[in-house]
Amino acid sequence: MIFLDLPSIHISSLTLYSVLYLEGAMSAAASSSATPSAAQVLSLFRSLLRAAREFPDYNIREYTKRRTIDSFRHNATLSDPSQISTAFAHGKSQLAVVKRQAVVYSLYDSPLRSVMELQQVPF
Amino acid sequence: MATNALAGTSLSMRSLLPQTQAFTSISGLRSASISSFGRKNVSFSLQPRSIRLKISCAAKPETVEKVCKIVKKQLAMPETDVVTGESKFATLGADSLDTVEIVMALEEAFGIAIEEDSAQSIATVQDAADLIEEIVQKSS
Repeated sequence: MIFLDLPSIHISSLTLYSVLYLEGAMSAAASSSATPSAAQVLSLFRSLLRAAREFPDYNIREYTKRRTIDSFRHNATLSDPSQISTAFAHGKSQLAVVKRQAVVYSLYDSPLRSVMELQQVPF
Repeated sequence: MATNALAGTSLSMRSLLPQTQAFTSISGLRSASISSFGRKNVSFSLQPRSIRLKISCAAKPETVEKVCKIVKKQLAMPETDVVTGESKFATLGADSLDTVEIVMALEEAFGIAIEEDSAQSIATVQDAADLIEEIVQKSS
């Protein structure tokens, strides 16, 4: 018998994604700072990937990683300093959201694990 | 390979008179300093220097092999491509984001945490393997 790994939590994935988007958009619009250096950008990238590890749920964890990588790759072509600053501010706000959401998800962690997390497939 | 560096110590003497200034330094096995300010207030101190022992070792072949596999997987390289310890990430077509991803993948694979300043010094597969060995040895 196979049990589907459905997250038994009060906050749905859709809520998380909308929160991520809205909070990030608001804080990015509110803040304007100097153009970040390459080292700062890489540090933010590393921090986001580290924060993504904290999600107990496999799907959310992988989504956050994939979304982080895709976003940084997409913004790697930016050359306008104001756009870079906005993207960086947005990333910093996303980091704060991810950290908070990881804590919330850990409070409602399910004992069931995704089949994707199995080291050896039994069949 | 272990290198034992005995740092020689110095005897230094400084005389500060109204007209002249003199400073003498002699290397030896102990460190002593004599300071004379005019005709009074002469101070003397003797300080032994600590022996520095520096140990450097190359990473195990299996560690290098594992790192090579992770790098190939991370960069989506075909099986036919050869990755060795001397391979540079830049030569393999990795940009700065790829390098960070590789470091993160290595952290997960070996169950370690690599500091940011250490991660920036990694340029080749061998560098990564050596750093991993060093961290694993420290943690054990």
